[in-house]
Amino acid sequence: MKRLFLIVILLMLFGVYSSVCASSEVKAVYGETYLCGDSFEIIIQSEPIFTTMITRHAPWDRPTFAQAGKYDILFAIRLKIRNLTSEYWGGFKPESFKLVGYVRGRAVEYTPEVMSPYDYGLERAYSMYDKMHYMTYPMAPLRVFDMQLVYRVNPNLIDWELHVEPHEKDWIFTATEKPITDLEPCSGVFQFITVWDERTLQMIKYYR
Amino acid sequence: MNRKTLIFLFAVYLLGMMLILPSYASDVTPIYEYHFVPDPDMPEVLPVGKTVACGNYSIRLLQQPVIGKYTNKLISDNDLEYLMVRVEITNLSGSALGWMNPESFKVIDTYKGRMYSTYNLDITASAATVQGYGQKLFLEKIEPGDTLLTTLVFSVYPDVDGWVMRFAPRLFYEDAPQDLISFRLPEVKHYSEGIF
Repeated sequence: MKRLFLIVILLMLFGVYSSVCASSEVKAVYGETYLCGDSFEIIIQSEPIFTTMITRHAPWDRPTFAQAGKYDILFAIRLKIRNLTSEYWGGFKPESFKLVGYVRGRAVEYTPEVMSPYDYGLERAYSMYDKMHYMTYPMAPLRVFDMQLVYRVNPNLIDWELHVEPHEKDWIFTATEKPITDLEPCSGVFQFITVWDERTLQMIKYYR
Repeated sequence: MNRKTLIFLFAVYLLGMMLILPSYASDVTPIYEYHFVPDPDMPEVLPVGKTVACGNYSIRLLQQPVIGKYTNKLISDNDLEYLMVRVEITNLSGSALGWMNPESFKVIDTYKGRMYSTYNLDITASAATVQGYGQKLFLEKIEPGDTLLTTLVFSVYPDVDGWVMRFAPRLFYEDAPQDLISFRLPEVKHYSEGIF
């Protein structure tokens, strides 16, 4: 009887614990500000889109910078990220923003093909991974990068998630007189409930 | 395998899961649910009109600080804006003092109770501003007991909560500051259109 009681207690503890863990996975509310750890602030500005072509209007660049192939599609996310650490970031590695999609319970991971500023009026503020974007400008403390992440994905996957875990690309140094050392590193998962499909002009909903 | 072993193995499995799970758990919180711990060294706000003494000087804010963009597109920065602080500086010593070092004035931006980057005084913008307002620059000589009305301009990143001003008066020929005071600036007024 005692043992049974112990097992029941353990099961209850496990249930409570796993439900707490599951709830810390965030269903992304578009436009909401989230703290990731407490070292980065993240806003997913609007629904991600499925599209076949992404163009940019910067005068010094080629007009098209990503185009879907025959068997894939582009998944574009507009993400704002604010540096709450006391350090200069020389850019983000593409592994910092992994997109995960599921098919029959199996997860498929993608790294961004393009990471570029969303608004080219602010082109000076970016130094990120982008094969066609050569300008360098570090991310100072408190700066917000308004980024467009573009992934080339399999269109048959569902239940998309964005895994954010910033890794610096080039170099890093402390910018403030009194470094902030007690920050939790950022490691967050954002689940997308809706995705806008530009091909069909319909909202795709995922019930998870 | 008897019952005892089975129960033991099951308990080990559960504990193992509890240890493994946190490594997969996401750590994302909506910002309004998060409790920020303010920096214990964060200074108090200096209200407009209140005088504080520091070294041979006293300083007083004359109006709510203002922040806005430089309208001249050729020299304006895409990210930075100008923070203008109108102050009155009084000479408390018995002799005339001139040539205050621009290093005497600094601002630090703050966000959610924490202090971040330090910005130096923008001497060119300060000179342009005081000329426009018919004031004198902070470099001017101040007679004993006299006050100097001037505007201090800093090029800062605007998208923050507030600013801490650090006043450490030092003349050009002095090796070290006479004293140091820090205070938070009152709420800053944002100008959507340019200020110059």
